Amino acid sequence: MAIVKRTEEDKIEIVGQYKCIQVRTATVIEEDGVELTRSFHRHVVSPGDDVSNESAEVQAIAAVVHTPEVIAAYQEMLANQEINP
Amino acid sequence: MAITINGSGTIGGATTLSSNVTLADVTADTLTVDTTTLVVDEANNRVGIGTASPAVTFDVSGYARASSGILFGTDTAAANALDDYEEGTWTPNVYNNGQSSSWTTAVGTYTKIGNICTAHFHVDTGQSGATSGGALVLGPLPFNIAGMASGGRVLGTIYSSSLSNSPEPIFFYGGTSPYAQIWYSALSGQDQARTTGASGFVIYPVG
Repeated sequence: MAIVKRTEEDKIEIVGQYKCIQVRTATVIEEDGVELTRSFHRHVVSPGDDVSNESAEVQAIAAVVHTPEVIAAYQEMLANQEINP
Repeated sequence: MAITINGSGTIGGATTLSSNVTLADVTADTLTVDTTTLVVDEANNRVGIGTASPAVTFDVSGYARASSGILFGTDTAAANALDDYEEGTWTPNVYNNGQSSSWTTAVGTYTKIGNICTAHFHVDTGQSGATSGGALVLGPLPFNIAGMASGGRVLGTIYSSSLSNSPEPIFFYGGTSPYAQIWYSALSGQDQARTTGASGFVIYPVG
């Protein structure tokens, strides 16, 4: 009887105008290869975010979709969101 | 060669039926496959999956998957299908924009139903940044926020002993980013106080 706990990024999505990368990480517990439980943790990688701690797959996607133009547009959007009283 | 069984009959070996099967005059008994795998309760017009005694019209004991979603009533519109439900965790951050935060505890849970996400959060033992400075921000949320053209606003509450109006309801402001700025409930401005902990929840459309 072997119980194994593993994680996998089972869903990676590129969404929105600024190509935010939604990452769902599944924690799977299996017994003899049969899945017992699966739980999820999510995070979003925005343009310009530090991706050094991301998986190689997410880093590769970010390198493609988070171009300097997208990052600049995203930063501009963030700056415009700061509405001062 | 046609085989006809009149009355009771038993076929003891593996049997392959290469064409359609018609069951004529099945009126009195249930149709049962593997005890509980499939049960057709003719008397009550019920179908059971994983149960020998279906209690309603379609009774499933175990999980059911609908790859396109579930429609209710007489609806046929794909846009009205309940096509997603998900629970999970996320790692919240409350920080002053442009500054670094530090939290010993940062936990969050979320439930997404259709295109609406409700996310709870708690950060504790640390600080959001400097005493004054950038607007207080919550994020990144577990899902991207819908664009403003789709009503992409974030609403919710936050409690923190460091916030000016806490524990009154606080407005969150969010566009297409997965971050939401935290505002006074009176809309007098962004709350820039340094927090030493915060809890709350937000509701927002996913985009």
